[in-house]
Amino acid sequence: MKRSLSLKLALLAVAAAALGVTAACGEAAPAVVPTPVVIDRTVIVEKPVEKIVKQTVIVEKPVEKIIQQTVVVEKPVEKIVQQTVVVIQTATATAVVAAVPESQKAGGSLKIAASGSVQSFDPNWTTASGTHNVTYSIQELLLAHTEQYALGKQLAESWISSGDGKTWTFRIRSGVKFHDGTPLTTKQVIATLNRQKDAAAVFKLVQAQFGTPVFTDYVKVVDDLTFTINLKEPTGLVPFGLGPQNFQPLIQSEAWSAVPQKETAKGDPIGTGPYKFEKWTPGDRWSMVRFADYKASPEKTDGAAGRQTAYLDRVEYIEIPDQTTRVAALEAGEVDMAQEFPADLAVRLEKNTKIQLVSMAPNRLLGHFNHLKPPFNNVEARRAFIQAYDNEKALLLAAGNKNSYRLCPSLMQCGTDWESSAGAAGNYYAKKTAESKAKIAALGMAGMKVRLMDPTDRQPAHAAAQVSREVLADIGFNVEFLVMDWATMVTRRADPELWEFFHTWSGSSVRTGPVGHLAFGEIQYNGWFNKYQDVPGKGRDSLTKLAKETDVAKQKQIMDDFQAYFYEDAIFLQVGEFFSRWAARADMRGIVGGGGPADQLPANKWFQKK
Amino acid sequence: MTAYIAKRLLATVPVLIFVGLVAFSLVHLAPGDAANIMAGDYAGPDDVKKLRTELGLDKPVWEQFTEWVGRTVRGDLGHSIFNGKSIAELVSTRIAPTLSLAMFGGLLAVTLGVPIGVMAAWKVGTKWDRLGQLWAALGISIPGFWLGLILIYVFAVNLRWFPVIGFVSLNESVTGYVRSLTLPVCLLGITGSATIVRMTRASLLEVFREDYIRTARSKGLAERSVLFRHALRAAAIPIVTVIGFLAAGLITGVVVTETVFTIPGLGRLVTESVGRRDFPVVQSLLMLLAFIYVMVNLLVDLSYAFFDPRVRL
Repeated sequence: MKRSLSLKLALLAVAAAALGVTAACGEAAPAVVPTPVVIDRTVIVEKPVEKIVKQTVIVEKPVEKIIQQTVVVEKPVEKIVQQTVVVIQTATATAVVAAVPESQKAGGSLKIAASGSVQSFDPNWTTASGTHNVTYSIQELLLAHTEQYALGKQLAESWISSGDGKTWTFRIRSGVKFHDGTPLTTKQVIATLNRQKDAAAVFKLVQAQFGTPVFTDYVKVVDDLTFTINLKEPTGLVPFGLGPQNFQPLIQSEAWSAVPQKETAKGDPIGTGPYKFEKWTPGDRWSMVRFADYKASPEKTDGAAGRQTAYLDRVEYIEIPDQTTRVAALEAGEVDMAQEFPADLAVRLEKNTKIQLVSMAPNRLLGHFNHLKPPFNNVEARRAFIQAYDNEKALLLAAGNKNSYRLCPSLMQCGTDWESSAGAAGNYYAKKTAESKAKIAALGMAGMKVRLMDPTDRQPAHAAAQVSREVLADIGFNVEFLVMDWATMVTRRADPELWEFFHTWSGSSVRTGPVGHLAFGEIQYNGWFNKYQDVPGKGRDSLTKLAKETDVAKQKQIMDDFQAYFYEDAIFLQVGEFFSRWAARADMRGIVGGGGPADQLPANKWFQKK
Repeated sequence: MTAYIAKRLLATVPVLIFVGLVAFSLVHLAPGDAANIMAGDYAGPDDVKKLRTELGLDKPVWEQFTEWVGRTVRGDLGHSIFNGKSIAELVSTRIAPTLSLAMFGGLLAVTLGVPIGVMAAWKVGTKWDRLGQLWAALGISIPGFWLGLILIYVFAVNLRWFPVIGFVSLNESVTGYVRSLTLPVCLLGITGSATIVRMTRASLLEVFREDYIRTARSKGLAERSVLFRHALRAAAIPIVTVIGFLAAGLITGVVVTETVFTIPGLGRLVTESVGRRDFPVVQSLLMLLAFIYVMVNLLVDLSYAFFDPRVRL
């Protein structure tokens, strides 16, 4: 024992001596002249949710019309990364980004940890955002979304409407080539439009309501670079019909357009975009490389519209289904960007100076009534539920933390000029549980069964369903909580006999302008799975007026009226907006960060040269 | 022996027919089809209906069944509804990671499980026995995904010894292959060894109570000889059975490991296809996995003859 104690004391003495020597050496260190190093440091400033920029921009367009927009960029982003000259925070970021010398923009390879798998590269297959995000880099639209979700030029060079508004003439850019070397002409444009005519939501709507039934009369070739769209009745929607929408008319090579839809997955997608398809291993990864002959638009970069530049040599999307693994891969430097991560990892990521967090465009969380079956074929019952709802609780559960959602009663995206609170007072986030309970009892519906579908494999909808279950029970319904996977739910919702309520969420493209709502199924009479019944026809009248109106101020008034009616008729439950968050290497540049349409795309992104 | 093998191989035919029927029925009993998933959330009922017709999913079930049987008999596994790739191609690209995982994971499980189990039985009642039982209890109780994430966090994110994600094939790089497999194989080995430890310990303890073991000891044989020449061989049959099930389970059930380590193997292909209701892929994979199970069981049965001469009689 004594010997052991002596040994321990001796060890302690040696350790103390070693510490002393180390400390002494530390003091002596200044004598050594350090090698000069360049400090590349990221300063992270934490900011609460606030409005950073409010600015009115009046853009005069000689061809089509004057668009007046108020640009309000709300920054729910919790980290604003400031480094050297790049300030990624405002709508003017495009100009700042452009000011960075080209020599500072490194190419290299970008690896993105993708949350979901690509199902197809054919936009005629699906409305899934996964397909749209990837096809946008390979194929291009005639018109694309600007940073503020207005329409900007991409392959279209100009467009003009005739005096009577019945003929719209579009001119496409010259010198544009497909990835197989074929020059872009109106041939491919017409072939694409013909292929998408029964799917592309707005293009189809314009033809059905204002165009001619025969496609060759509706769209006509003038020359290699010019074509017309011919209408029976004027409408301001024509440009929107060629822009972003469900089942997008992304311009494809003529050969690909001729391939039956069932077989498009067998061939390579060929487009005119800044990147060309390289390889796809389904269920694992897919990649694209810079297209050397890409002819960029001469217009200034604005969101997904205007000049798009491929700074990166190669982009690879790796499917990583587990969100914790996605984050780990980013932390270990195996990927450069990770899509969507769990809220509980945000704290760890915020402390990591090598990583920046980006809030993407907000999604809207919503809930759908079965308009054909009791109790929700009764407007009073729908309204009682909406008025009792705890929107904030549902949003917090769906988003995972308080910086990643916002209460938003507006049908159109909050923070844009279309934001409105019409009809929301007393209806949105009113939490009138006692009143609603009394109303349900008065309607004789207390104890009535409500089958609530809960897709457990879709977090936002699953989270909202938990709150809906509580609220429905609180106001007196007998809730049958149906737990299932997403695939089962989307099948079950097609049969109105099998459910009373479920949740989904929607992306920004359907609520950033009037067109989104015209094409958005759930407010269409009897058109979507909720089988909405617009008995007085007030909704349909508003939307018809909206389709014909070309004046922006009047369109906004019509939208306000429609929103008031939306709350009056309680068409669906508007829960609010939540932001999906991505994480990226801190030296990645070109991210605007305002929730615009281009942050998820690899074009115009680069790595800061060290 | 040849007749025995031929008989067992023939017996797989009705098994596979039965599995095929069950696979087809189960897949079509599950609610939903690929058209609903593919069309996306913004598509309306008409869009979904159009897609369903395009894909041929609106055909009567019996017609789809006869088409599938016809194709399968001809050796054509068909194509994925989602990506149009042939199922044979999909399987061929996914089977290498799964087989590698199963082989090395199984090997590690046996390498860990049998010695620990033997030690626990041999030193029953001592701290070695308690350690062995603790290992088994932890291996069975700890969720695989959690242990996988811990391994990633410690050895990939912090120490950077191994990659977090992916699989590198042997053709690409031998070092890459070893590095990409190390953590998932450790996970499979640790969790898989638990059952082997328990079975080895229990079997050996039972054999130790047999008269012939007492006789061997009483005639003065060394303890090592008693253990390895007499006891372990006699205890081998249940251990081999467990290892056989483990091997088949590793091939068919490495879903969690493949998901956590982002390895594009057969397990992930099955779960992805079920989630998307990609019927042709699910049906073909179920048939393939059933076939693997049957073959592994056959190998286990054949191994009985090696360990127990009475089986050969």
